Amino acid sequence: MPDNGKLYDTQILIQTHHADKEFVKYMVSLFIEHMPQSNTSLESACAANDWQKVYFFAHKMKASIDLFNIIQLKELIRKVEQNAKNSVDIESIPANATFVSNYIKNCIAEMKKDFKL
Amino acid sequence: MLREAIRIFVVDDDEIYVARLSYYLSLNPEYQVKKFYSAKSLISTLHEKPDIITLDYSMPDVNGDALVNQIKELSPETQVIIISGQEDIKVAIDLFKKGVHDYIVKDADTEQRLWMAIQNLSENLALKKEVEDLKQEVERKYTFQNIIIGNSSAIKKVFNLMTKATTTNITISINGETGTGKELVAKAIHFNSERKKKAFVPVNVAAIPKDLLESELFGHEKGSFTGATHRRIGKFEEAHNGTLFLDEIGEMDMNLQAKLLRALQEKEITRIGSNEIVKINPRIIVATHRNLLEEIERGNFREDLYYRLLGLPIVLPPLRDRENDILLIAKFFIDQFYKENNQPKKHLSLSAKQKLMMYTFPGNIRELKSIIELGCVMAENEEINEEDLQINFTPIKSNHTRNGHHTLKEYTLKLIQQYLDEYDYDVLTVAGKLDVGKSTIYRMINSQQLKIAKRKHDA
Repeated sequence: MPDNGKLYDTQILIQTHHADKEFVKYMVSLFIEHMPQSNTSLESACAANDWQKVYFFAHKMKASIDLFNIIQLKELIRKVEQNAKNSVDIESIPANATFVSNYIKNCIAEMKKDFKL
Repeated sequence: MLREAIRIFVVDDDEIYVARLSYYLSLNPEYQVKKFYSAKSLISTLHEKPDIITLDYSMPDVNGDALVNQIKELSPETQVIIISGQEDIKVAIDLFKKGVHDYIVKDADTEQRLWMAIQNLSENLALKKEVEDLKQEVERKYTFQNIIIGNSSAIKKVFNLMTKATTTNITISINGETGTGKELVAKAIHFNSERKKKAFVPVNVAAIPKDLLESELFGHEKGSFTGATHRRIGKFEEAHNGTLFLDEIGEMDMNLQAKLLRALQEKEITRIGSNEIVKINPRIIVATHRNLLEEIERGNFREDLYYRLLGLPIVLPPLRDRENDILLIAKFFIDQFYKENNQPKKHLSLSAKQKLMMYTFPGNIRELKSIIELGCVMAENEEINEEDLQINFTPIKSNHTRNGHHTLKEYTLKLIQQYLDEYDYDVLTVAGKLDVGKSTIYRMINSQQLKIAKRKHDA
């Protein structure tokens, strides 16, 4: 969790991208719009034991998790990604994926509140 | 000068990632960014030929390799930067082999590295654009109308032949007196032909010592002779797929003529000191002021080479046979002189025009230019008058030429020798002073009609 007690932060966007408030809000809205679909896809792939797809969706979600500095998920999403890619410790993948998915849902709820979206 | 915007396509199926990269790149006002979320939409827009594409390697609707191939096929000039979530060296090397410009891994530094990569690329693109502009400028410079001024019937025939020359690869043989513009015509043919993007390589056969000409034309390997300190490609290889212009071909040594004939027939050469055969494909244009048929009769030129080189013959008429062109060209040189010197324009008086039309111009256009430029300098009134045109030649020392009975050729040789002595055997300076071609002087030196002592400043 970032220092401010939030589940996410927008400092990377502001510092690296020199983003103004409007752009930050736009990026948050994109996160809110697209991540639920990624969650669903990840969980469905897990349910279907389709590790190739699990790898693909985890791989895609990784960049957004990094961008919003969701510290709790940074390592976990990489673990899901690599385990799925290499078919290693497969038993842990569904539980980890569910954790990722739930955490993202919480982030989205927090974002909606913070940005009145 | 304002630079043209660099057009960048950002391609990723992750809308959030596209948004962050696009926003970041748009911070540079010189970048014009378009977003794409699928390979399909990218392909359908490739006809816009973007300068740069940043491409996510893992697109869901197509294999990354196949997409790179497709981009290179449809828009070969577009530079591709791969943005990948995986640091896979093997994949990266394969992509570089396909012509990808850079491979950047998605992490916290992606934006900065992408920024740097695009900045470097845009500098290269700007340089490339500059080179293209210069090439186009050269092409414009060598349009027929810019090269040859005139509308006499004699020059219209030349225009007609030049047009035919541009549409085929046939060998061209240009014949004309000194100063008629043989090299310019050769250049104009090259820059108006399909070979214009490749090199135009001129070689003045008369200006290169016999012993060096073979190496100059065919190249040599390191150590193949004393002084060959490194491998060097010859003019034939340099002109591959372009044009090789052999000026003063009539001066070529008989032994080398045989090698030239072989190279032309077989379309291959061997560098001196090498066994390797190099395939060549230059278009050949030759020029001479000599009558090569007479040279064949004298045993100075190979008959088989003559017929191999004859191709499409273009005879450049001497200025004295070009009717009113003399005045048109004079006007061109006058305008050019005043423009280059930032001075108000002047015109030729009627008597000056008559004087020009009466003259025979043995030095042709080169001589006319010299007379006109001096006339422009000398003119004190609003017009360039008859007396400003110094057509009668006055030697710098008059004590030699009038003594005794001599032929015109003897007078000429004496005069050139006198100038060579005077100007420390600097052929270019003497050629300029006397308004004769440098090749003419080199020829006379090679045939030992003129003597060259060691130059003072070389001593």
